[in-house]
Amino acid sequence: MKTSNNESGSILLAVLFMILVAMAVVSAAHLATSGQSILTSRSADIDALSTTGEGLLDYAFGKWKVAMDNDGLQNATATNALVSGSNRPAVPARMQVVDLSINPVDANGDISTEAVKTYDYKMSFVYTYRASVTLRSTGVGGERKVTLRRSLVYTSVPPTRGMFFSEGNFELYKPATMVIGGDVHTNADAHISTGTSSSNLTFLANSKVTYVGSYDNAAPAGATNWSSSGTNYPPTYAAGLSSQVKKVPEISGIGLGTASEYDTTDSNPNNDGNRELIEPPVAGHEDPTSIAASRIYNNAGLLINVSGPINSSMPLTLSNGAYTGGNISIKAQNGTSLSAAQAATIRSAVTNANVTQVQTWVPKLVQVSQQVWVPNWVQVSQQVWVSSGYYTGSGKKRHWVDTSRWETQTSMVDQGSYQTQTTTVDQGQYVPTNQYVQKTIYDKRELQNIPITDLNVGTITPALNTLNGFNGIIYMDDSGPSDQAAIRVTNGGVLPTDGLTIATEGGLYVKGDYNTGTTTNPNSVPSNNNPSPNASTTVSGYTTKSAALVADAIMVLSNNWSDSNSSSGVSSRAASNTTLNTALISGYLSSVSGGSNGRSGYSGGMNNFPRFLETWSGDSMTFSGAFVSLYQSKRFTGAWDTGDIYVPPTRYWYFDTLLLTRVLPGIPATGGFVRGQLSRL
Amino acid sequence: MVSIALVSSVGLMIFSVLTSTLKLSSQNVVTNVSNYRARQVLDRLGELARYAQDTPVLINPDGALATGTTSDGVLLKNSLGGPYVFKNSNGQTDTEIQTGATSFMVEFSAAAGVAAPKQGDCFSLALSTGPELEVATVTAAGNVGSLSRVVITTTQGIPEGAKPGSYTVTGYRYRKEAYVFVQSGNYWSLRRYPKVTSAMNYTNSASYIVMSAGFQKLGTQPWFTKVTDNGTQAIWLRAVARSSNRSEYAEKISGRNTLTTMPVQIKLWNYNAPPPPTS
Repeated sequence: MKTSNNESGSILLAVLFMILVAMAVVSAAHLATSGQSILTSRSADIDALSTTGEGLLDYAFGKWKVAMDNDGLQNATATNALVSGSNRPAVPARMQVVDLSINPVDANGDISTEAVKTYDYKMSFVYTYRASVTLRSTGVGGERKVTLRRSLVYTSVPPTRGMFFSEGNFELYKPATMVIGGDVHTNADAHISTGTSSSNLTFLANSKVTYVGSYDNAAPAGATNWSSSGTNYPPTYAAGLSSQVKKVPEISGIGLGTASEYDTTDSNPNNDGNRELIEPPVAGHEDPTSIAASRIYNNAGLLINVSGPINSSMPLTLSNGAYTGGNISIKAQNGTSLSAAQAATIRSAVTNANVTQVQTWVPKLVQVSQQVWVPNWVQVSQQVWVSSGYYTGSGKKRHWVDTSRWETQTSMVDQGSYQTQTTTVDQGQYVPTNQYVQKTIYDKRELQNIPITDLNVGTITPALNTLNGFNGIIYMDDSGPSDQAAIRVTNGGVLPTDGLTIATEGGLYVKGDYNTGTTTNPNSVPSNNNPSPNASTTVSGYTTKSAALVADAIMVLSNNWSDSNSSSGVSSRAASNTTLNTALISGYLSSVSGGSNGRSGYSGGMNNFPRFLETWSGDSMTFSGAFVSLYQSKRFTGAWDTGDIYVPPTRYWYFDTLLLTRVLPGIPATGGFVRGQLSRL
Repeated sequence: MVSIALVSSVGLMIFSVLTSTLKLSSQNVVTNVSNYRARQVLDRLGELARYAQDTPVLINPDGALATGTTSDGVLLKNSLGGPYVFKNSNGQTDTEIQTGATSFMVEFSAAAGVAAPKQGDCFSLALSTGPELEVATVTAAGNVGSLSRVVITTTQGIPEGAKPGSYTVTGYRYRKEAYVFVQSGNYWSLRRYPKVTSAMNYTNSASYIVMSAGFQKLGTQPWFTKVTDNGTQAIWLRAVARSSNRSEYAEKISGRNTLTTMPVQIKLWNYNAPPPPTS
């Protein structure tokens, strides 16, 4: 068989064509497959890089948090050292860490070399850092790179996040029936018991009890001196003791980095502990930065100082930034602008003087002219004939012998004259005048008269609402001669729109309802009108404002308190239903075994953290807020007892859950670290 | 002739095997690509939720908030970064931002990687009521120092006053995005609404793009379910992603509309209520 060359060529062409087609199909498939392979590989690699990056940022957060907690604010050098060199964790072999850094940033997110303090809307301070990580890997189709950022934020998480926060022991010993619906924390020991049966003291399931030292149901020191009758029962834990009671690490300091600055052994009076919160700094001594940042005195928008009985008729003059006059000084700071008229309004809300009228001689000196003889005695000598003689002989021989003669005599002669003289004559008269004396109330616990200054919140609130730049913090003190001077907050039913913190270094009395929505009719508050569990603590339509009272000690006076009865027997000091919606931050007295002045030595427990001075039998004290016990009382140190001091109220006490999301003006945190926004660039 | 026939037969066989192999390979690639793309859509949704400004919100196909614990869609706040510092519209700090204000000067640092806001973006402000403001207009205003500043107006007034002279009024920017499963025949498609604004209509096709189609529900499970998971709230996305009905792959190459299916369960969010700071 023969084949032509043409036929042989056709077969070859056909085979070549088929091979070409096959190669084209294979190439197309290869392209599609390799493209998909690159996509798949890239996607998987970026996922891996993202996951690793997030892990590195969490590592950075942990290192930063520990450093801040232990050593206070960190600058950029310190924070970057936390995640560089040997401190940088290993990553999978295929990845490289291009950058891992932590830097302070300012309010605009720009990197700063030092920590930048900013204020949030409640004037608690905030420090923001930014952790950034860039990771790189190589894979099919080239290099992948991922950059992630996370904000690290120190914010004020105040100790008002629970029902009770106690720096000292948390003690409850045979309290009247109590139900606690909020967290309890103590940096020391917890001694919790009840006297009648376990059901008398109940911790609801949402109440966690955390302690640092020890936990037991024993009587605190001195408590049995007060009452040793009956049995100590453990309280009832709704969800069980094991799930509600826990030992935890100490939550120390009040404000970031303060705990590490505290030192009671050196000579510096500005670093002695949590009480610095309410103390002004002592001049001439270093005020450590972290403590200075926490002082309410430094952070307040208004400083009100009283140095004696206030005379509101005196003019206020502006000097060194403060309006001063009549024993009061009002100073705006931290961005608050204050006019003379506003200062006068604020002064009108501060009163502390009893005014009595006395007859006072008001002299009126008048000059009077008169002729006055002005003597001029002159010694004058003159010859004076002195007649003298005598008879001699007798009979006819008797005759007169004349011995008369001239003698020189000296005499004084007034050669004076009349002259015109001017004299001052008092033609005054008695007129009635006001005498200012600082008023006092008798404190049965302290056993003495307490000089007191009233702050009328109802008067000051409208002024504060219009005060430009006011941050909601008033620091008020009485620098008069008494160490036991106190501030009394009155008429506090309605607070400024943005909330109010009132702080003082001395004692603080709060009289009547506080933050309930009415200043005129306590009975319009449901918890006063018909006290019962869950009765509203405000009048209808009123939303409680952020509120805190901060002092060396806080005494709660009822709506019915009368100053004139303060020194009378306890039965004469009858209370009435009263409601407070505020955080109370104050000092405590530790229980001691042996009391004095006939008192037991027991601290009274946290149920007596707000100090009472009236007979509350049949009356209720309703409270919604948080109790914070941060330091030992230094000025109001009268020991607790019942007796002639008070008869306890029916306590309807609740934790205000709004405090979970509210930051109270000027109340710094015991530490609050937040992992902020995570973003991928 | 015999040799020609032999070569042709062998060639035909080789060609047949080759084309069959190539076709099967292509179909395999198509399956993988289609399946991967479908999965990628859901993964993308999960990632967006993880980096979002806040927790996802369950919504109905018309955008209304879902009343129960299940839904066909979710609304996400896709974080666009910050911080942005808010001041009064005149840029001064000596006047307060009044309640109800709708015009603000917004300052930001481009050096810190913060971009200018755009119409339809939203801001979350750090104030007591946590207001969320939607940007209506943006006017370029230049620079102040190293910072950029713009004047924005918002569709709603700020519900509380703010005091930029006393404290920093900070906002973070985000864009609302919605993802909604919509039934089409036997299957469901996933719509993405890239910019949800107060004026947007969910039924308008210009408001969305179809991310992928051919999804089925996983058994009787709803698309999105809010549950309590280990003591915290969580939102699950459960779906069957089908590698089909993607015209660019399935129809042109294989002509088949059903290839493989892949069950997917993604935990979109897991959080405590309220989100706790650590301390």
